[in-house]
Amino acid sequence: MTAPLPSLAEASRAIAAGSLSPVALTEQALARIAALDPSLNAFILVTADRARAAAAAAEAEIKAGRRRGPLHGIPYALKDIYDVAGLRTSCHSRQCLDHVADADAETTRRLEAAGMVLLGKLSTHEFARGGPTDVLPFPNAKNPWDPARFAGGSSSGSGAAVAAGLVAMAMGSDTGGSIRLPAGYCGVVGLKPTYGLVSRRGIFPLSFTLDYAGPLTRSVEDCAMAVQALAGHDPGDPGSADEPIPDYLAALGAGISGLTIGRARAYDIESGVDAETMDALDAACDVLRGLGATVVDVALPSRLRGDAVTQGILLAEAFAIHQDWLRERPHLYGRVTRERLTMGAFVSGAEYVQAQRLRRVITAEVDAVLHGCDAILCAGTTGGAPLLSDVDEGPFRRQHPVTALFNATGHPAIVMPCGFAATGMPLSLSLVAPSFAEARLFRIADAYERATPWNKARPPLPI
Amino acid sequence: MPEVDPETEFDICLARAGITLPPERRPAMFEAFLAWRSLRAPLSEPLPPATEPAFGVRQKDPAR
Repeated sequence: MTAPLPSLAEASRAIAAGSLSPVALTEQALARIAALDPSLNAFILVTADRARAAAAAAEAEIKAGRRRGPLHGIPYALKDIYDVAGLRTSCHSRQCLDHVADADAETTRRLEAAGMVLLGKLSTHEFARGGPTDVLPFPNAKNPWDPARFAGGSSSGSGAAVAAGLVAMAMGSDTGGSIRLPAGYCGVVGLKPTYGLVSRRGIFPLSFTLDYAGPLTRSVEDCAMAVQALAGHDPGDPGSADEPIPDYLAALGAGISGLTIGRARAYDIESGVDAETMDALDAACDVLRGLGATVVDVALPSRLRGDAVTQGILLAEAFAIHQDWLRERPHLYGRVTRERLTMGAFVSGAEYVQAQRLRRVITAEVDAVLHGCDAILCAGTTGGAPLLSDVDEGPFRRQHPVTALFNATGHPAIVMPCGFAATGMPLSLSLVAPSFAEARLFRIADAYERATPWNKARPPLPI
Repeated sequence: MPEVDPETEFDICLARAGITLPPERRPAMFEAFLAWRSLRAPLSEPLPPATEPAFGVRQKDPAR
């Protein structure tokens, strides 16, 4: 009754076959949350009554022959910056304890329309910007692999909940790596889609032009299933793209023979990726070669330029969003959040414009790399999850995330497990594809996942 | 134009933004400000006209 939840794909197939009941699956999820979450703190809010009602409704619809699709009747959870009509969107902050959403985020609406069952709201770094030890109105999520270590952020609850088998899918947001870092540190799959593919409407913003919404899941197939429901034009999101949505599941299992993977080794070295991760990435390249791909070295824009662009934009845009509260009620922020948001006061208008201009240059450089290969392979994180006591919680990180470059360039990037560190913590790789080529990304990631054991490993939890 | 000393720039930026800092956090914030000053150097590189950030005002023909 408290076993880890099946994957989205497993649950979907079982529900379709009539061997799994949405009600039973939801009760399993609620029981597991009750048993494990008091020590994991992945959830800020568990919407048990709502979930039971939604599961019962889904079960009745399915029994009546009105199954909406592959996600119908399967539980999920949302990072608590996503709006759900009638529920509080706290952003994990004292600033928003009284904020109740009056409408669903577009992503919430799509998942509800697909028949998914909302289990609740998940822990996040405050406003997707603070740190893991800030003193906040709710506790911070723990890494299920080792509670003394960083779960990653800012979608920390999303990574922890999926890794612990509390949910099969959780939504996160990613401004510099906030989906991909918790995915990497918690040993699950996380996708930052192409800019504009998934609506951001109804998600509390951190940076208008660097924010992305995306899923964290146990497998690549699950990720593709989730994106199939999430992707599509939203006229209510000014950044939303009006592009055709392909069948993301169609190419899974097709293999990668004949594809070319660009290995961004120099970028990883410049990013300070540790030796264990570099070895794991080399081994991943061997696996991809064994599957018929060609691996070539590629050069990405320098970290120096990428960090100047991403930080110049992020600091300025986040400051524009938070300036009034920073002036009028700064005491309601945690210390780390307040200081990191205040950094935007130091970015001039000219620097912001130059950052947006240089962004065009580095985006063209990554586009050029992707003209010569089908996808780029680089590190998802620079190593396994660090001890919480070693996490940099200063106002301005000494080292910015290895993932942030692709927030600036807009390209889709998936992070997935690729081994383990000596500490027992998951290691991760990242694959990056041309804009709107998520289907290709899933195809390559799925082939790697099928050929390796990493996504089958589970954290050492008591149940 | 003379270079503004960092501490003056730091104080001007905060005052212009209307932000006050807890006194005990001033050293850490100043250190972070210096780190940003160091990081922002590439934003001074010459850039071609095609890099103008026009995407925010790109217009669409309402008839299409």
